[in-house]
Amino acid sequence: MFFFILQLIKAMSRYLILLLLPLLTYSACSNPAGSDDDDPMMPSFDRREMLKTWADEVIIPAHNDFEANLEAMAAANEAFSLNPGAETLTEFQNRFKAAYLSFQRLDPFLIGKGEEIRMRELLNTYPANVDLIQENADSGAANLDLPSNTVAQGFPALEFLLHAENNQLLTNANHRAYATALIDRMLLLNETVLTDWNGTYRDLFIQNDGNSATASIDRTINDYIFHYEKFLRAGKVGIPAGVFSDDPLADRVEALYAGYSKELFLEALSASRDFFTNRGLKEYLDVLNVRRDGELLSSQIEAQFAVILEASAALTDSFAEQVEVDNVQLLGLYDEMQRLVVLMKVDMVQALSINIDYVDADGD
Amino acid sequence: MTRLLPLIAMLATITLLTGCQDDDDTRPALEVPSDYSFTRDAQSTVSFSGQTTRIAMAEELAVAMINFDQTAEGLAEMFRNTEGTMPFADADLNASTKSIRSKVAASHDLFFSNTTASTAIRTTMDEWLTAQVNEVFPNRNEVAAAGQAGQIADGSSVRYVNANGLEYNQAIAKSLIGALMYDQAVNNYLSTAVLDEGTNREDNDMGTVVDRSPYTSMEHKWDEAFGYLFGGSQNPAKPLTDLGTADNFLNKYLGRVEDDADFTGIATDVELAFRTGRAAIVAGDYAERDRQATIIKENLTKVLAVRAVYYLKQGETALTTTPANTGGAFHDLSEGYGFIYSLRFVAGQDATVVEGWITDLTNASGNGFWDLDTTVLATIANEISTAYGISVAEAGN
Repeated sequence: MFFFILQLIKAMSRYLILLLLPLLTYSACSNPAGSDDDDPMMPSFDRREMLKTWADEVIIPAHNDFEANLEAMAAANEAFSLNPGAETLTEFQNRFKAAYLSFQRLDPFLIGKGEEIRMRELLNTYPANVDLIQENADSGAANLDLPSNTVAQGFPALEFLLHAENNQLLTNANHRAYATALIDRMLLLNETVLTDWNGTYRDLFIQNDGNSATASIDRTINDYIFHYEKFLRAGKVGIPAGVFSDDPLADRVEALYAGYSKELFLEALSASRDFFTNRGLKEYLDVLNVRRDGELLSSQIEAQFAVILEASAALTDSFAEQVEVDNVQLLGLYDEMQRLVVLMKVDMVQALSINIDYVDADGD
Repeated sequence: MTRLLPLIAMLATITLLTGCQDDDDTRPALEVPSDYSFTRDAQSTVSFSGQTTRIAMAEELAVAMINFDQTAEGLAEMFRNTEGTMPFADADLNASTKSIRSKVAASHDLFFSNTTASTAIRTTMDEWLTAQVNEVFPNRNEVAAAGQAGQIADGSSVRYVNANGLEYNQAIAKSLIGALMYDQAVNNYLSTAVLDEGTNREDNDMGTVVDRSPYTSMEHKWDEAFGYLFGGSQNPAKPLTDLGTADNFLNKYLGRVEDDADFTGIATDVELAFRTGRAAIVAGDYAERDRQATIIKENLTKVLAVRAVYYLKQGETALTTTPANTGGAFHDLSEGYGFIYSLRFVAGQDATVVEGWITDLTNASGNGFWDLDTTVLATIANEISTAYGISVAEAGN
């Protein structure tokens, strides 16, 4: 039944494009100013300008902001290492949180080099493997390049050291050395990606403004929706709420030890929403006059973002606690997030003639 | 000629009518129960514990292949379950006299008089087990590269590959689907040669049961075929309830194909055919039994072919996107390797053609998957699709 509805929606959107086609062709003729655009279907919208906004006002600044936050955390770590105590630890924890929040604003846009080096996986795979973290810290010689150490590095590993094992961190030099190694690696990974953007990649990204599967708009929107579906919706909410398992899984939440899963969730949601509303996508849909049940699709998407925000309002800071106390609320949030998946992954991409290039993982 | 047509039609009608009357006189209408449960004197006649056991053994073996505390001997013992050894964690499996290896490439139809091929296949699997321990285990803490066995990342998962990028654990697990589950079910227990062996028909007609068992030999053979597909199910009487999760072998992949909207209904067809065929045996209707066996065979063959094509296409996509998802691709190709190997067990399939596909995919003259020409993947996928009458587009998504 669900598939049937999807098909129906698909069919309707196709029909919509057909209706729009004459309209668009007409504006193409009357508006030669936009003629450098090689896409005859979407003439009144400057795709290249949107890509420029994405690169210069979203992605590169997010990497820069992240770098600043990582450096501040590195400095706090250094101060802590020189003088391990309650005060320096608190400052370290605060800087850690600021960096984790900053990462949420970058996370949806890890494309190009970021995707190639698996920056998201290396920085934020949770739950962390705490035995492996202990083992690595004790050995002092862990190879963080090994894929098997993905679960023992990045924010979740550092969070474990800072919040679950902070006594060790105060007393054990090996733990402090491991924390430093983790931070150095985070800095290095971000630098690698940023260097690529600041080098040739920015121009390549902007120039690649066509509408093939490998063009920048297709790729970025695919990655954006992929992030929304897999990491925001499933990772932060659905998996702990037990949507994909027999029972809720409280230990799968983000920031299990620090206890601020909700703040991280809200930051990521806000980054997602901002990207849709303020960085070109909404405008693009409106120029094409994309409607769904007579209403602008962009309005429906914006409204759904608002509904999601509202559905999360009453949740407690720690989703692990939320799962235990009242999981129904988390399930309710998930359902609202799921509605937005349909609006974006079906209606929006159809209207923009974008193919979703990822499939649900096989799971084995 | 035209003038003769009415006459022929009339004769045909009479023949048909007579046929029907004969049928009605000699045998009762086939009653197919809603569950896979059959009884004699209020006692269940359904039994396939040997199949459940072998599936469980294969599950343990597949996991043991990436347990770095294992040894080559330990894996070999799990494969063979030699008397006096205790290779399994599950004590019941150690106590069992059954083994995986003795039923690999062991069907009546394909290997009864081809022990050469049978032995070669078993030896190949022995070699994979040894190679896993000798090539991959020592390099478990190395980053894999062309010519270097080790770890490779697939999303947040870790895969362990040989120097050519192949995961032996996937190769063997997926090959067993063809070599054990499919071959035993399709080419052995659903084979008329096995179902009708010796006095099976006569015994079944008379209701003569096997020594101290509630079932006739023919009933049991049929159930053993059922067991290779549904033997891991929590409730085998209603085996579609946990389809896809009952095991990691044939059941899982029938489930996967069922979940592909292009093939929805395949699992229901298979399950209904098993029930109908079993009811036909109870009713002594062997023509009906064989019709149902054909339905099962065709659909299970389709599962192998669809999954082979699926993994080839997924691997191709993963290798050709930017940036390439190398680890994901190698994982797909390792699973695909096993499903292609499994096609070796389809009756009528020319084994040398399968060997050709395997050779092209393995690319051993180069660096294996590391420098594989991706057009090779499309070519193999097309050839399999053509040979098995499926569409690449439908199977590949």
